[in-house]
Amino acid sequence: MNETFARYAADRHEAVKKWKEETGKKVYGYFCCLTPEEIIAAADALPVRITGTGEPLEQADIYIPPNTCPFARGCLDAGLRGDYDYLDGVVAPNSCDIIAQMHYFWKTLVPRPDKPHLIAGMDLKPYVHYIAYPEKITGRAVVPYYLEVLKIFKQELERSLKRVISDEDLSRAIAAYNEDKAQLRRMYELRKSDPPKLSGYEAWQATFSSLMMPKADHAALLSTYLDEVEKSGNKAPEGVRIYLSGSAMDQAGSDLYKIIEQSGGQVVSDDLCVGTRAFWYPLNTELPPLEAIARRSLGTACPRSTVIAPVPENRWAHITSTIKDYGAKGAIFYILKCCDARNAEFPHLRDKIKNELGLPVLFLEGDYSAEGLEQMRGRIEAFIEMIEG
Amino acid sequence: MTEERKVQTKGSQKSLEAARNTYKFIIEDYIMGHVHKNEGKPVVWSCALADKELYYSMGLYPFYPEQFSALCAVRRKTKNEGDKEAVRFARIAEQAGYSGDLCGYERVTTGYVINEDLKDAPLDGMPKPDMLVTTSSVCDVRLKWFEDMSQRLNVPLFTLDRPERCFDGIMQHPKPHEVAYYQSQLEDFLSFASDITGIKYNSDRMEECIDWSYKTNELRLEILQMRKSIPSPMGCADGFATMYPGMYCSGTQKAYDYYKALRDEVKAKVDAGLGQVDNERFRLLWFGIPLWFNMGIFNYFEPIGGVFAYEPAYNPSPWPPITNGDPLQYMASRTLSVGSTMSTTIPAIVEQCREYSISGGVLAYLITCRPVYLPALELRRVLEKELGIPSVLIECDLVDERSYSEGQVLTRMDAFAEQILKKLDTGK
Repeated sequence: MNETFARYAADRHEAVKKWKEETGKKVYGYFCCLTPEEIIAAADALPVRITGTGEPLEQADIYIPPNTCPFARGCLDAGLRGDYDYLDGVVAPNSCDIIAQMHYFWKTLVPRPDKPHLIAGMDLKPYVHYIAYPEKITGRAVVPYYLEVLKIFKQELERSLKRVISDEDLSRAIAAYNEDKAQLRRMYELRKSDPPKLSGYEAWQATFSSLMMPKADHAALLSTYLDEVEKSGNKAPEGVRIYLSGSAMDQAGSDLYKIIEQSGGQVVSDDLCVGTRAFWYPLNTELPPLEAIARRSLGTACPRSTVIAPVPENRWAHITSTIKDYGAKGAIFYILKCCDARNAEFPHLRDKIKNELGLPVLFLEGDYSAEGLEQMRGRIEAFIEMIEG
Repeated sequence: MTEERKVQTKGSQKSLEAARNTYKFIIEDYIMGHVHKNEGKPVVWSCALADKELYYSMGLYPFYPEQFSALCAVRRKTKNEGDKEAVRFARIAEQAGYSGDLCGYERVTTGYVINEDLKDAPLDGMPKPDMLVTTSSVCDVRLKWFEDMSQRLNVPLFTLDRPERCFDGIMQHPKPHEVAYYQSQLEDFLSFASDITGIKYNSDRMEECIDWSYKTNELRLEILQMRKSIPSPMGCADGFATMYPGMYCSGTQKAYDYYKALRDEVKAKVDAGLGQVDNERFRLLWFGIPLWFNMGIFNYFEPIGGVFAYEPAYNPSPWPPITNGDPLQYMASRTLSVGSTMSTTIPAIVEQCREYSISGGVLAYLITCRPVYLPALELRRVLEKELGIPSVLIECDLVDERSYSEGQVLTRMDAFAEQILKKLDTGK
């Protein structure tokens, strides 16, 4: 286990606040891996993924109904109780129905650390930015459209941060992101061996901490860590090889990895927004940098998106690319309650994984709490036992 | 031994003849759709918020799974016996692994498709489509739901990707790149439909349909204005009953003729000073889609002079005037003029409460409909804060009556009525 990754995973707020104090730089919180965070990084600010707490809600229940995604409620609760008071801005893309409304909720309800900068009632430095991300991520007109959306976002950041974000800045950010993605892919290669060279939980710590650190720093740390792992002949505890697909797997859900391991399994790959969906596809450096960022963002295989195809199957391509070669013996779907996009696609993906890949599938419905995870232990044990035969 | 008492749900009593007769319009619409299919002409299953002129201009006959689910919510396979069809189909979907938390509309139509016999449904169901069309508007579910139906039916799907516009305020002229993008979606749909059907796009025919839908929209806006009258000439029972032609047949003369007759009927009532009830005491807002299986709820407060005066759902917004340019560009601009986030919804409803002299809000907390339940708590808070208007949340599914707890709902409604009456009597 790497100490820095573990520190970020255990207390991300302290870790980021410490970084902010040491560097004097700005920090922007964002929702969802499809956010064009590279633009924030290009402005020499740190983009950090907003996550919830997994603890009982203190305030969000007053404003957001209990049927709502528990992760989103947890994120808002964290904002309302001041956990994110170190953010200089927040970016809410139109990812799912709930996160899209975080623009309204965060702007209206979460105290802003600074005063608005008003001219005739118009805020020159909005605290919360909205990104009108398309729902259909392929097509002849989507890149030109989305480029205009990103230009607007870039200009809002430039105004807020009082600096120009040049193409050189964007290219530098892209290079750092690509290096970090390369190291994360390298780490996932090490999980192909039997047993994998590091455990699912260790890999989660590394991917999760990448969402909170400057990419260049994370890439350097990860590279050193992986050199050590390879040299030491490290091996994760043996277990039935599991592919994990699910809703946001932040620190509140990470105990699932440990429960799977304690039950005789080992997560070897995933389809998670804090896993492969955050880093699997590099940015194309042969394109103008803003276009490269737009295409990377549009390439996120999130359940909320659709593609152009007579009968759309976009997620199947990502699932097969992240499951093959990993020797998975079973798939676990951990879907948070009321995650409509995932719940709607689940029966279809379950049948395809069973019929085309020959793998058994376990469905777990999560409530974003530690107690809820623990209640799944029995079912996970039974699933793994069944696979072992 | 005590006899088990079944939950009582029922249709609504409507105050307008046009509303009472809308079911004939719907039945005829279904019949014509089946005739169209039997004649070898193309049928589309569409989600509700697509631009209907696309279909009527291209000779496509649209059916709407959402509307079909609402129909299933009120119909049984055998009259007065057994579950409603919506429950039968939802069970099939749930048994296939679809979460009970998913949109009621989706579970019903998915179960219907899994059942395979498309005629085994009210009004002979929906004919097998030649294509499916959905939009990105309103909710994520309709993307995945239609993808799922496309996979099950092996029918091509087109998604109209409509930019979700977020701004403070209710209407705002869209930006050029937003119009260009949505226009590209309309153009691509027309190519998609042409490829499947062999029917070529005709811009004159499109302009004709837009002309009908514009004039229809103007009639509907006129009716909305008249509904502000005191006493309320047309309530939510009438409103939800009469939304069908405007929602689903916009772009046709038959929709225009329907609203012309409705407008005349409402005007006559306003001119005569007639309301939904004789003794109107207080006026309520209904927020959200109704409980389709229990529309009788709209009559609940009438014995004590309470009327549901206004419902934001399904009602039109003003359209920009038609220009002489490309009709698709006009359609894109028109569609994108209204914001689609809570930054728009909440202030719009506050204004509507003022305009319709609303004393209280009944907020449908539809447990599987995210666009409706997500703003509910915030709307309640804002209505109280900005206007001093109390609200009550009614918790239930929109089509699946298994979730309906009569005791809970009626208890809340009774307490709410007491609160409103006390406020009327004491001013507090």
